[in-house]
Order: sequence, then C-alpha cells, then structure tokens
Amino acid sequence: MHMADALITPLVGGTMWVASTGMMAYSSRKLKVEINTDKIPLMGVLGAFVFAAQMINFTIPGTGASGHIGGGMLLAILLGPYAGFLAISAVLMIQALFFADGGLLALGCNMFNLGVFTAFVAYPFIYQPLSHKGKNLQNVGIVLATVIGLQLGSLGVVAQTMLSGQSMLPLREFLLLMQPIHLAIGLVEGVMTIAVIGFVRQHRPELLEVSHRVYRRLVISLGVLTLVLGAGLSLLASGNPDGLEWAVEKAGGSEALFESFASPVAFLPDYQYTSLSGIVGGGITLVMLLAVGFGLNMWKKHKAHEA
Amino acid sequence: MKLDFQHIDELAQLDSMIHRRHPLSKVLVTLFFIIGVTTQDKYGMLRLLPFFFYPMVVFILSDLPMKRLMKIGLPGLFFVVMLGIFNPLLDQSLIQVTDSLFISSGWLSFGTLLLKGVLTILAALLLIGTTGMAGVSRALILLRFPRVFVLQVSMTYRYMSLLMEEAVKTQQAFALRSCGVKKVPIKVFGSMVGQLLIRTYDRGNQVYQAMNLRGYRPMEEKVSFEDFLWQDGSYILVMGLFIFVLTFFDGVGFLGEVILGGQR
Repeated sequence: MHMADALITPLVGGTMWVASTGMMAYSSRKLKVEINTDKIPLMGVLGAFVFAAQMINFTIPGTGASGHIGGGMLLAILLGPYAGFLAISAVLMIQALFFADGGLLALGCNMFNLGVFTAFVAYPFIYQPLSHKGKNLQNVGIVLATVIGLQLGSLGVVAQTMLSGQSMLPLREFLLLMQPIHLAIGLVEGVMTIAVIGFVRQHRPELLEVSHRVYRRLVISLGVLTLVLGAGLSLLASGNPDGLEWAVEKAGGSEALFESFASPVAFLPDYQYTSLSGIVGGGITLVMLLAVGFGLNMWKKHKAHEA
Repeated sequence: MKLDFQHIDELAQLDSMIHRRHPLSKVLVTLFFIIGVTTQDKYGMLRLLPFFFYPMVVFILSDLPMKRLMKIGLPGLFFVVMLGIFNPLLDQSLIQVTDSLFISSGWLSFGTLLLKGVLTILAALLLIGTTGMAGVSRALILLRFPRVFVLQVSMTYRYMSLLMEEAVKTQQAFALRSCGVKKVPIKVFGSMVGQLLIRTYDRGNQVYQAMNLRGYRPMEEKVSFEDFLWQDGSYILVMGLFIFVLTFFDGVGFLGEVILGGQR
C-alpha cells in the first residue's frame, strides 16, 4: 500500500511532508519528556521487527492475492502513540532509501497513511476506550483499531493519488480495488497483533504498563486542519482538470471531434507534449545519453590506466 | 548477520568523486531531482528522457553496480504498474503526431508513470549507495529533523541484523523440535513471534547498555557544517541548475525543432 513518487505531484507530496513532519516534531517534543534509556532499544527492536514483518507477504484468505502487515497498531500499543509514530516513520524512511519502496517524495504521504491514522486516530479513539474493559473487549479493540486504521490509510492513498491526477482509474473502481483488500489485510494483522500482544502481556507485562495519553483536542484540531488542507488541495486540483476530463473537454470542443467522442477512440490534436519535434528530440537525447555514457566510461578507463 | 539490502550500505564505503561529496549536498540534489521528475506532466514522457543523464553520470562516476541496485529497486515499481496499467484501458484517445502517425495517450501516460517510477527509484538507491545510512542520518540532523527520529532510524537499521540472528536461531529450534513440520501452526505463531521479540529486545538492551558504557551519547552528538566544502556547494549549484533547466525548459522539443528546421 506504499504510495510511490511516480503517482503523486510535488504539491500533494510536499503538503503531506509538511503535515507528517509537523506530527514528527510534536511527537519528538512529547517524547523528550518521557523518554528513558529503556525505551530507546525497545523502539529500535520494534522498528526492526515491523520492518521485517512488512517484508513477509501472506496470502489473503479467499482472494489469492497477497499482502503484508502495516504494523502501526502494534507499535502504538507497545510504545505509545508518539514513539509508535516515530518508529513506523523510521521504518518507512529506511524502506524508501534501501528499497525505493514508497519513494522519498511520497514518504510524507506514507507516514501519514500508515502512521498518523493509526497512532493518532485509531489508537486513541478506538483502541484506548476498549483497552481497560477486559481481555475480550481489548482484543476486539485491537482488531477494530487495526482495520479502521488501515482503511483510513488506504483511503489516504486513494485521495492522494486522485488529487495528483496521475492515474486514470475512476474513484469508484479505485476504492473497490483498495478498500476490500485492506479490510482483509487489517483482519489478519489484527489477529497477529493480538497474538503478539497476548504473549508480551503474559511474559513481560511491564512493557505494556505505560499509560499513553493522547490529547484528543490535538487530534480534533489535526482533523480540522486536514479537512482545510484537503479542501484547498481539491480546489487547486479542480482548477486543473485531470487527464480524462481534460481529454473529454478537449474532444467535445470541436464539432468533428465531437462525433469521434461517441466512438471509444478520441483524437487529441496539437498535443503539446508529443509532437514530431518532440519525438525527434527524444531520439537525439537517447543518442546523446549513450554518447555521454560511452565517453565517460572511456575517460574513466583512461584515467585508471594512467594511474 | 547482514541482510542483502544492507550490503548497499557497504557500497557507500567506496571512494569516488560522488562518494566524497558531503551527505547534505547529495540529499538536497536527490530531493531536487525527484521534485523535477514528478513535476513533469503525466503525458510528458519525452521530457523525462534527459533526466536519465543524472543517474547515468552518477552511476558511472561512483562505480556502483547498476544490475544489483536495479534488482533491489525494481519490485518498488509494482504499485506504479498496478495502477498505471489501467491508463491504456481507460484513456483510449489518440494523439496525432503526423498525418499517419498516432500515439495512444493512455499508453503514453503509462510510459510516463513507468519512467517517473524508474527515475525516482534510481535516485533514492544512488543516494544510499553513495552516502550510506550514517551519512543520511547526519544530513537529516543538519536539516533539523528531530534527533529522536534520526536515532530511531539508525537504531531500527542496526537492530535489523540482531533480529535476523535471533530469527534464524528460533527457526532452527523450531525445525529441530517439530519433526518435519514445515509451516508454523497458528497456535504457536503468537508465542514464537512474541519470544523472538522479547529475545531481540533483551539482546538489543544489552548492546545499547554496552554502547552507552563506551560513551555512546546519540542525543548529544555534535554535527556541524565544518566539513562542507566549496566543492559540495558547487555540486548542489551545478546539479540544481541542470535539474531546474530540465524541469522548466523543453530541451527535447527544442532539439527536435532545430533538427526539423522550426517545424513542430
């Protein structure tokens, strides 16, 4: 579910970076007060654990598709929301750097989708109220919080992709593609989280004894801010209609083309990004790329030979 | 024990013109590059071609093994391909290039997405391959990222090997006691994973305490611009200018027009 650089515009990526780094700064300030030497190795180990768990794909029952866990809820429960958010953000950063999984511009989106929704929405509003009401209800809370956190995260992916307008997939189909599969992943992840938390509760209860208070007022203000940002972005996006709308508008603009619009194939005349000069120029660029590559290699060999 | 991807970090120990540049300059150039690439229009496939000069030059000058890095990075294209493949199906308009030459705009936007994917993936891998985890962490501190976050990034990275060591031991123990059962039954999954977590935590704690006793104080470590040389500034300037020109000027179209004598 990692958002990729290629699917977003710098405007969407930049906005999400601002939102996520804001949360990062806030969480770090909160942590400075409560951080102790025991917590640092625990954060590192849990980060590594979730990183490894994300590398393991499991088959989603009944679909034949495969997926991997997000791990945000496990981190939030064991470390608290602030350290949990930082831990999942660190995992995502390493993935973006070493596997280019997600990408560096999209990192802000991924931190928001997998971190903020889980640690600052699902954890305080769903898990926490149920966590003190007996083991069974606590387990229900874990599954519900994991599922809802992942659903919100995949909604985030859909929203960010649609706002960027790089994919032609209509909203309805996109949602149908994303939400059910993440519902299944959420359920599997919820059960796995229960199993791990259950074991830790039994053998190292002290790791779970820390009370993690999240300021709900902060979360509500964040929600309002997100809505405002979202509204602003969609205004910007609608001022610049996406490719399909643009193509339809353009095709409908001329009488001759209007007829062809009825057929599945439409024509886009005078398209500014692909012209004969563009194709010729592209060919020359490729030749230049090869020439520069060859020249540089020769120069390097020559230098190595001299040395 | 090192994981396959952790060997990329070893590549950062090489000595080359690019490796010698300050981490901050490489992080900034990578960011400019990614922004430049993603700024291009969704049909701007041809305008993306000159962007390949950057990874090509960096690959050659830094002596990094291209095949190995691509093998690690290419799976990252999966999500892009999964979403992009709908473009040719949903956008069947045609772009008329000459009287008889038409290009499908759906395929064009899919091609653009793929090129954007490859370029951004290469940029990230080249950054880590020439800078390493420690270098990137330093750059993050200089960029004023919270210390505790940077510490978390490096701890997660270091403890990965520790976790893998413990995982191998756990797997061996399971294999020896399970009489040929290969799949871990769901009943013991929780205790196995929980055990792995607790064992790694204990080991991680020991390592951290040992590091502490030897004077490891990550939150107080001083990072300054002292080793930022004029060459690093020039690197940012030259690369930044190159990327700026590619982003806002249609060099490919211009070249073609020159060849065709002004014809579009």
